[in-house]
Amino acid sequence: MLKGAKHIGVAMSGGKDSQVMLYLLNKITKPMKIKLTAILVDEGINGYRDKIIPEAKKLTSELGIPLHIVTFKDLVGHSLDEIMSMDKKDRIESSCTYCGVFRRYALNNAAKKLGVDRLAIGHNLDDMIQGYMMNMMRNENLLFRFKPTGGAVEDDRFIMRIRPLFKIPEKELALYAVLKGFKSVFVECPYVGEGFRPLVRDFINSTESKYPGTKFKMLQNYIETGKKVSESFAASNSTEKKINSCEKCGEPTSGKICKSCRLIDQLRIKRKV
Amino acid sequence: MYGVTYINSFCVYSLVDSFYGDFVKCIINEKPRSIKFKGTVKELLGKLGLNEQIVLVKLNGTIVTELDEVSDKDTVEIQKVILGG
Repeated sequence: MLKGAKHIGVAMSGGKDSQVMLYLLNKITKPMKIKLTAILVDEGINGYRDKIIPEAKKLTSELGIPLHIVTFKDLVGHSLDEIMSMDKKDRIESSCTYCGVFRRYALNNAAKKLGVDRLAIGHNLDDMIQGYMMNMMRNENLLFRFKPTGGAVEDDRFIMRIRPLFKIPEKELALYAVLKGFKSVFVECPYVGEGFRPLVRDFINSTESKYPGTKFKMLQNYIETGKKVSESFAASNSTEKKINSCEKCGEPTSGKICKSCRLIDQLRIKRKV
Repeated sequence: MYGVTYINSFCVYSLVDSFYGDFVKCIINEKPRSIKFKGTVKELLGKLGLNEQIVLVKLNGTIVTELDEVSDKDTVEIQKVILGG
């Protein structure tokens, strides 16, 4: 994951996962002389992100790592709270869709501006298998895009994503954070009930509780099956391999217009960056 | 008597003796509740309707596994650590 890296952007929410990731990456990369920059996306969720940001500022300051903050307000002109208060006929997607798409766009945008060659994402074992199961249940064609390193399609316009925590269960990360004395704020996103994820998360947790080892088996299946699918995809002439530049913003996309611009058009708002 | 306190953000459950056996008085979202209980941490969590995958448990101030036994007069702190977002 770190081979050849010179500058890593670390996606930082301020929660336990990103705090542990930043702390450990700092420990590992210091002797390797790899530069770290924390990137925090502030979606503008009152009573949630504003409570966590001070923790991110505190840890980055203690570790001497620069913190770059980008907001939805700066990026698309509206906070997530403002988008969710719009008339329902104007916002047809769930909060998690707006949040996920704009956050991904914001991270890529910031990573390019900062000139990083890796983008570290704090996805843990639970995130990986929840995403796997959700994509499977939705019959998503990019089922295997959450790989430990990189994405479904390799392209120079993508900054390589790395997921250093992908084998660690979420509960163990929480335990490590508590034992290390990180002042993690355990607050829940107020929009969490809108998404599909809680249902999948509860199902997997109940199954793990009854049949211990299920989570690791799912991850192993994901990695092994994903490898075979990737090899077959690479050898095929699939048109999905072609990466275009978005006609509106120039970002890489499989279609003509990227998902972020499509959402912005639906909301009838203007991209600022 | 019940000993009910908050330690940081941990929710505290105190076990006490009563005429009917061991009882747990718990506070969830500031609402007190008591249940009759004796057994493992996992069984306690099951009785409280909490999955062990989403909580950390301290027994008398020390983080423990789900297999540890809870006896009367122990103080059990339960913190929900897996939240959405």
